[in-house]
Amino acid sequence: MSLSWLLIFPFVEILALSFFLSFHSLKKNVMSLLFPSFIILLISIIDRVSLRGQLLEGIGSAINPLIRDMWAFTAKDERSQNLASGTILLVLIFFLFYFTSWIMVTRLVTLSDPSTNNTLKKRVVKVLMSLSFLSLTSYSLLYFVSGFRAILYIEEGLLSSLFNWFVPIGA
Amino acid sequence: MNTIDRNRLLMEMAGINCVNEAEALSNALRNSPLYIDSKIRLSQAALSNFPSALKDYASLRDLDFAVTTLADYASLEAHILTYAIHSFPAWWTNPFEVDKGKDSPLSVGALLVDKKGKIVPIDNMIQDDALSLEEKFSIIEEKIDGWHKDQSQRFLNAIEEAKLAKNASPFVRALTDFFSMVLLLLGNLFVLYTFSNELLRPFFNEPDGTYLSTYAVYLPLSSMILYDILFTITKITNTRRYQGYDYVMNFSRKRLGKVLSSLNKKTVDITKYLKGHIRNKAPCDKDSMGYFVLEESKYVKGILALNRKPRHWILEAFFMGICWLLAFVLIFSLVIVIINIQRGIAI
Repeated sequence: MSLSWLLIFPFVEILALSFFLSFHSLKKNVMSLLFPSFIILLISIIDRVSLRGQLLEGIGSAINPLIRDMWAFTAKDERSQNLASGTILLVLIFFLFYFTSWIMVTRLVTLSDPSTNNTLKKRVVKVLMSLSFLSLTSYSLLYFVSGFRAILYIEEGLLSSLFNWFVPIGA
Repeated sequence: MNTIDRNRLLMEMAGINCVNEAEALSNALRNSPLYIDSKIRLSQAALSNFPSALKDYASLRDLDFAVTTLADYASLEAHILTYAIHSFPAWWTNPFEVDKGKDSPLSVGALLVDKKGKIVPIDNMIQDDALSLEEKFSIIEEKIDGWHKDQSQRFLNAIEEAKLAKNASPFVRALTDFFSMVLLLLGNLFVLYTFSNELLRPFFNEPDGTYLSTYAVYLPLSSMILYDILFTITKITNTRRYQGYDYVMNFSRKRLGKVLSSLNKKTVDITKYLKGHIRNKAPCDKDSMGYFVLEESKYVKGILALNRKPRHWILEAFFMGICWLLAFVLIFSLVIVIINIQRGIAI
């Protein structure tokens, strides 16, 4: 049985948060996500374009001895283990940067008057921010799930080609 | 008070009982167009939220008409006449305000000042030869000080009002947000872990109620799905509820200082302008009201118009309950996982 159907829940969450969060919260979240998402995007693109998954595996192999003892997961092969370990490290880095950015953004950002939220300009900005939030979080989530999938046994199935685009396994 | 009433007042002072007359006059005053129109005009002035206008309106509204002597009646009438003058836009209009209203004068010179108990327009006071330069400066400075206090106090009152509204403290909110986020992250990672653990994974595909490991897989999963849904709903409702409060806090931290400095600068400008006209004995420009507008004064309306939505107590209580439930479920599953690993076999 594939576990990929469980992805419905985080995606519904992300969709709901993207379009129903308040203007201010969305603004702070998008600003906080910019840096960590950029790091993930950079790593994934470099890995995909020039290194064919070697970068994530390399990061994973360096951290694997520590993570393997803590996580105690089972994987089919060494490469899957390394990919999962690398992904765990990236998840931690992502959230570390996210929380740091959040603290800075809440201090630095200047909020606008919420009673003027119905102007056309603000509506357009909100839609753009919603789409940015949706794409930044979705990309990061899909990348993390793609890195984890070897230890979750969801390499095969409907979404395997999508996951393979993010982190190629068996390449 | 006409001549007859003044005579009655003298009779009262001589010891004659005038209770009935005082009551009749008081009732007539309460229903007079002067009192009713003043109250209506002051209620319009009070909408500006300037402290002086609010105070005048409250004082007029709370006047005690239950007088028993003509002396008290005379005092009551004097108060109503004062408030009637204070109800004119030319008295309470603030030149620093952006949105002044359609009845406000266009020239600063048309605004009313108190010249030793006599209310006159600024232009008339400027051209009055009976007053010395210092006296004119003193009258103008007093009036400008009133405008400055009204404007700054209105900002501070609006912020204070927002702070006093029923909101959770920022520290408690930050703490709750942080721990709910950490629980979300740890919970989801733990659920991923239960799928990747070779001792627990078989129980996901083939659940067996006689094994604790089945519960160690399914309880975190079901609790986590419930938690994810509630986390999203709570997050959305809370951010929407607190956005006004967050804006006010952000405004008071980042913009209030600049606004008050800007107000001080405008005060200096208007003082220089009026003193110049007093020295030259020249009336103010016809459109001079637009010279000293504090653009930032429009923010007050935003602060005052904040929609304070009610707290969702049931949702918050339910979410808190699920938080604790999830924490216990995660500890339970973790214990099962540790026992499984130690024994090397699923229990």
